[in-house]
Amino acid sequence: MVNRDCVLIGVEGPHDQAYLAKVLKTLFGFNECKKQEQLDNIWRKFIPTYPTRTGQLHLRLDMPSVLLKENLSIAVYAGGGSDLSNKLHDKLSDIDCQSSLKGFGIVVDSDSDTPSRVAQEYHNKLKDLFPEFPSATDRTGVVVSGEPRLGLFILPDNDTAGVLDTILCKCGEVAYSGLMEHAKEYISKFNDHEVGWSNFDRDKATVAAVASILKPGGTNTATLSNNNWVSLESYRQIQEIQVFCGWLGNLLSISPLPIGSA
Amino acid sequence: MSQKNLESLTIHSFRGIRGLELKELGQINILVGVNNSGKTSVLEALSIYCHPLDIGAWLSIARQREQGFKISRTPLLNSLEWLFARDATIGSEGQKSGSIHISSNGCYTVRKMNASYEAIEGMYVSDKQQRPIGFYDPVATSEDEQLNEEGGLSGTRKGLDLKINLDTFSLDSFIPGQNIAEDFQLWENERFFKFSGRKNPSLLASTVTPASHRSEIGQLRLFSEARLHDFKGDVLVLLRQMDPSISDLEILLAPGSMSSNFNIFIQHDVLGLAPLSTFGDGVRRLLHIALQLAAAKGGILMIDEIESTIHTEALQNSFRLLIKWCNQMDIQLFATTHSLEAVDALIAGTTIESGLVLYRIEPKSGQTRVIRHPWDRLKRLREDLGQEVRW
Repeated sequence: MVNRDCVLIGVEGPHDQAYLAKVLKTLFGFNECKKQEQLDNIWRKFIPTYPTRTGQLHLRLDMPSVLLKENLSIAVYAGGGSDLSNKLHDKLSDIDCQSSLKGFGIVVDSDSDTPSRVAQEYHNKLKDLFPEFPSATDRTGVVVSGEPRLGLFILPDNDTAGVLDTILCKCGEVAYSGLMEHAKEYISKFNDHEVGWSNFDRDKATVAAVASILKPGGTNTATLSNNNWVSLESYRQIQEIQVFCGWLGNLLSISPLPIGSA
Repeated sequence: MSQKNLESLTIHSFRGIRGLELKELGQINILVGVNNSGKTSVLEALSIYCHPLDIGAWLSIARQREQGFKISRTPLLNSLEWLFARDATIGSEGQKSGSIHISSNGCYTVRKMNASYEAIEGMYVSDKQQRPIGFYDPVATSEDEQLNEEGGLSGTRKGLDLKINLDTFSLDSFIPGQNIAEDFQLWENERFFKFSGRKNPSLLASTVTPASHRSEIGQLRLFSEARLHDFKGDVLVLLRQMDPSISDLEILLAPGSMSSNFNIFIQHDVLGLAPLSTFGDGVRRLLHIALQLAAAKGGILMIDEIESTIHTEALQNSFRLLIKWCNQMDIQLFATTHSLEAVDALIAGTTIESGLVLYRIEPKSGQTRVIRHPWDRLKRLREDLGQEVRW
């Protein structure tokens, strides 16, 4: 068994999980852990069983992405949308998280509520495990120092309403500007009301359209891992990614790769 | 909901346990943890705490782990010493000593128990012919022993000075709580039952170990109690989980037996009347558990390795019945398990009203940490999230 400094980051869904994993690999130099024997003890508790006792055969296996670099081990756990705080609360109640974790962070979006209300909601749900968990946020995201360090980042920028795809559209302009132009023109032909889109579905559909051109039949999750949405170039040009990396660096107590290394 | 005998239990020191807190105890309390984490020690501590002044109970618990051996491998007093926390084994004068400290909340009249011992030595003079036979222990035979002029044995002998302090309370607010202090001197190779202390204060408690179903001692008495409590029908329902052909239980003298030793016989649809001893471990252990249930009405039942000898397929139904009776008979159950299948079967066989709580015991440096999961969270962890909860 391996025991490094462990940090757990909870996100809402597999897209966020893929984004965070890509950021850690591309901008911080982490490698993905792909074998069970490389897992730190604490992450063994997160290995899902299939099927669960509910007997449902087609549930997604919620194995976190585990990323390793030197003495750091980061698990990115996708908790299934609004269930994230409940699932994390249950899972962490079974772990001596105060002494096992060097850091614990939450990355969520603000598609249906204001960042301040999202922060308050997560504080209320997690305060019995982490009394110092942030109850408010600021423009750069919050990291509370201590053991463990506690962080909250609300996509896209801790201030305006949005989702991950809001940032990905900006990434697309950097990496695939021609495809993005065509995709936006195509998507603009649809009326939100007619196709039943709400809030930020237009951004999601735009990213999906580009994804399916880059790899026909591919998903948003796969394209995030396999293509160049997140790169040193997008980091250099997009302020939201720079702010997010600053927050992540504080939570992990390391620095991102220098921009000049692109 | 009425108050339980034990609402919480803190084992401050006992064997290797330090500062273990079982908060908000349920009606059904499941203890899990890795090997050597202290699960069985919790049951032992609880057994003693339920009979704090009964030296016979102390000695029985001290020897419980050697139940499978024909001859005990550890001298009885040494076994007793090992019950004590070992952080102060050598006192200022160089003598061995140790302490046990347990406290609780709930209806049980004892609130706190402090016990300590010191190793002592004394002269041993006895007639060889009168030497106690029952407690002869070859390991403990002193090399210092020699024949005296009358043909008896003399020499030094080792012993323990055991001091027990209890704080008790009364449910009647007009009766003040008491502080009880007792002192016992226990000598090797003596008939310890002479120092059996007293039975009260105490809490009715029964223990099932992985091997206790193999002992025939006390089975007839337990069976009689079950019969008198009109519990035999329920016992049969439980046994049929193992073998649906079991139809009745009888106490009989074996045909052709020269002695008057009665035995429990099972009326079986295929085998006819057959002695209990001819059945497998599963049937014998379930019967033993059922009989101990009847004996623990209104008290505490402790089962070490609850899944032992029970086939996976029979776990859920067996546990469902066991828990139903614990609830009906107001028995607070404390059970250890190594088995995730047993944990899952316990969850499946209960509802939130059953009062099931799981405690995971984790030895840490200087303290024994406990993770507590109430039934609803345990159910979510196992059934929805598939999380391992034993370590």
